[in-house]
Amino acid sequence: MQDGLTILSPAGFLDAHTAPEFETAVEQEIEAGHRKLIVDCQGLTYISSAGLGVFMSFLEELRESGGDIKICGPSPKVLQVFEILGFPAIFDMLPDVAAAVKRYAECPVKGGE
Amino acid sequence: MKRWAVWSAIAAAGVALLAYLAPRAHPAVQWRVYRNGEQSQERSREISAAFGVDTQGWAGTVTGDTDNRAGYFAEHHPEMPEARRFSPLEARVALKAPSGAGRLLVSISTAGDVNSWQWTGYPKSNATDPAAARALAAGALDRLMGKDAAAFRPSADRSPNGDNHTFVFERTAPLNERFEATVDSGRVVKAEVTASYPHDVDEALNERKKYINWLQGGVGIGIDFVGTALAAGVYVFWAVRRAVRHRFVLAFSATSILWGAVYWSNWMGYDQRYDSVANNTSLLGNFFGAVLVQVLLILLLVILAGATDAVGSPPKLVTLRSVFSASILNRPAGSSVLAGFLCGPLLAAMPLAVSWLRLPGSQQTGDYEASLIFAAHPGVQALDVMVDIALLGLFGFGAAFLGRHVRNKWLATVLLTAPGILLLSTAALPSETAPAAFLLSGALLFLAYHAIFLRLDLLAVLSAGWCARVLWNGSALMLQPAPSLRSSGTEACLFLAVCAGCAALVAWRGGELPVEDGAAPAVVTSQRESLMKEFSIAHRVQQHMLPSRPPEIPSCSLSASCHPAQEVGGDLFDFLRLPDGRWSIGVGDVSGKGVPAALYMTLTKGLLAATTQDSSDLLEIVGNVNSHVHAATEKKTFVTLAMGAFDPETLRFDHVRAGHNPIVWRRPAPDETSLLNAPGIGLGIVSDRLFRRSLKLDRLQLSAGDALVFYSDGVTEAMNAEQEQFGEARLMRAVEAADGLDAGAVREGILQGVREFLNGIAPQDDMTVVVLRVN
Repeated sequence: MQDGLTILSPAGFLDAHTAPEFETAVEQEIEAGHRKLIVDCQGLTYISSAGLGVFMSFLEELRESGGDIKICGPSPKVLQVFEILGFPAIFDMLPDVAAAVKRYAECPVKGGE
Repeated sequence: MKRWAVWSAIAAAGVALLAYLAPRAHPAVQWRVYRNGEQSQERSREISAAFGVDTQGWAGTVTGDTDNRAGYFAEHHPEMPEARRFSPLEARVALKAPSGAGRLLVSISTAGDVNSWQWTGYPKSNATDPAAARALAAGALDRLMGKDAAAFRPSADRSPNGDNHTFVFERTAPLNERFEATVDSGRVVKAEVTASYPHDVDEALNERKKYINWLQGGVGIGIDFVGTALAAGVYVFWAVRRAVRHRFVLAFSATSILWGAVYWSNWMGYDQRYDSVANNTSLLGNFFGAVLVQVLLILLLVILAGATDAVGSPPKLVTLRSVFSASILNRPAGSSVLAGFLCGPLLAAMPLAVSWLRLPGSQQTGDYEASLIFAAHPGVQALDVMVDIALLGLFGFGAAFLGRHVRNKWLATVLLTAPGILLLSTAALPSETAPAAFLLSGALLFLAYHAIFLRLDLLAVLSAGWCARVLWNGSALMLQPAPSLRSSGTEACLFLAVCAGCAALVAWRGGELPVEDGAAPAVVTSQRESLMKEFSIAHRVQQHMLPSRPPEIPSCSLSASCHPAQEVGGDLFDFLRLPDGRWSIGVGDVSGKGVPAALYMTLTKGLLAATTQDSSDLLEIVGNVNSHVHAATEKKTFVTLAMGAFDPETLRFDHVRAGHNPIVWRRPAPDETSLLNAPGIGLGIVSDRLFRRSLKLDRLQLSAGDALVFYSDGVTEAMNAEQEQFGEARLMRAVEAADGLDAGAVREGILQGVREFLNGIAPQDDMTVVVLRVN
């Protein structure tokens, strides 16, 4: 494992009920000084707009301090939700954790903005 | 409007074809009825008076009876006018004395010839002298046969049987006829002339009905029984498994019972009353027999309606359901009924055309609807047609059941078509004898009804079927020489025209198809009560912000609704006129739910209204809205938006998609359904520069009949108890099923589909659907 990478693995439903929980988890990582996050979506069966909001709330803050969120392993259904919203233009989306780790090595912060 | 031109052309062609074919191929032409029921009664009173029985004050009742042998013989011996005396249809009159003076039974041919006169229960007196009795019998022969009486020769006298004498006279040419008179107590009590036909008439009759009898037997057991059992199973399974609203089925049953009662009282009024007088049976016994038949028929209808309600494709049922609800006068239902009526004449003409072709070996079976002619009110009887069980079974239940449970589209089509053709072969009127003819009729009818079902819906199919049956009855009446029957037939057809006019009025001026709202939430505690009140105000305020009805845009119909999952929601839609004259249609969805989402929803709505005032460029409009939303919202909040600009003149449709669910584009003509997946990020996520770079404008050329469906993710992500999502595929199927229907029906079909999918579970997210249908 590359230094400083943190993997979060939300599972099941990420909707209005569970999003605050996930939000707290991300917050705790950031407070602990972890800036390079990988969200492994393999176990995610459903994501709602409230869940998508969590990804966005920290992105700016992380990128300003040289960190990022990279998303990997979503099922086709979850990937479709990301895609409809236009996430691939904002986030690095990768097939699995290994690819995300590799991506951090090549490009720590996704360019664009 | 173009659509109505097509339907009107179909109606005109149907009427012209029917007017040409009915006098040439309708079996009722053979009937040649000169007297209606009432006139037949008068005739029998006249003949009774001639036989010395004064029937003033006697109750009279009349029914009809058919004689296939007579009909067949007369049809094949046109050179023999004498054969026509024994018409395929006869009026049977019963007259009953108020006191115990007995009953009179009289049979009268359609031309008015008395073929049988019989008095039972007459008062007895002294025996008659044989010579006087013979003279009375000869007089009776004269009375019945007129100048033909001279050709009859006495053949046998039956020696007095008790007090009465029976005399028989016969002639053998041109046809074998036998006259029999009975004299008792010094008066004629029976006079009857009968014909005996060669054996080959019976043989030919049996032979020609062989195939159609096989078919009817096979269909009865194979399709009717299996189909009904299946439907009953589906209905029971569905009713037990789910907590269903039986509202539609109950309303449908109540209407059927009412309809059946009209039919039955009309039938009881003469047919059963005749039976009770003629055979001296109790009218009450006949009453129960008649009720039983009706109950079975209605039970069958209810089973099929229930199974249809259970598995039917919602867009095909929505208008039929609405007819059995409080809001019967809605535009889509009016359109369906009107279109069905306009197809009726062509559907009535089709089997007549087949019959007119005289395909090898085919003849009409000669099963005539005697009850129609001699009914007390033939016009009412002509209209008294129940919902066609075959049509309800095929298109209500069968098509939906197969569509749902048979994955292979081709197999499902075959499984529907084969029984469909057979079933409609047996139901086709006139009923033909040769397989080539009845199968052709069945196939044509199936294709026509199926086309109506696909283009419109079940209500249109049932209306078309009803209209065709009434036209069949009406034309049977109009083809008769008796003026009263002709005018009854005309009245029935005029009534159809009035119905069609009313449907047209509803289609033009009727209300919107209602959206069924869920029950209001129950208030639990008083503390909560005031909060809930605030929320319900907020709900009202928010719903007021959305257009209460879509604008009238030429060349298309529009329909929109937004159902928040909670009191207030984050979905929005709007129709705004752009400076260049085009109409914009926008559907948006704020992330999250409840109050925060509702507040951002109002913000977005206001931004859209403001930005569309200065620009007609969708990229510019949506780009500006993004900048404002980005600045004004929390980081985790975003808004997705699908927005289109429709040009009613060129039917051009520009659209952008800012992170929103792709618009469904349905093209019925090439039978294609696609999702408009233009690239674009949701509003409020990224800064202006990156946002504008992500956004692309797509342009489509729409054509007549196309539908565009905007929706929020609450529709596609609606989740049932099995945690399946409604999904895009089901949505697209629901849109496809509503081909040919206007925007309101498409939208209601989708929402009904979601409701059925959810099966009682409350929607978790706001649901917005906006439909545009190009005329």
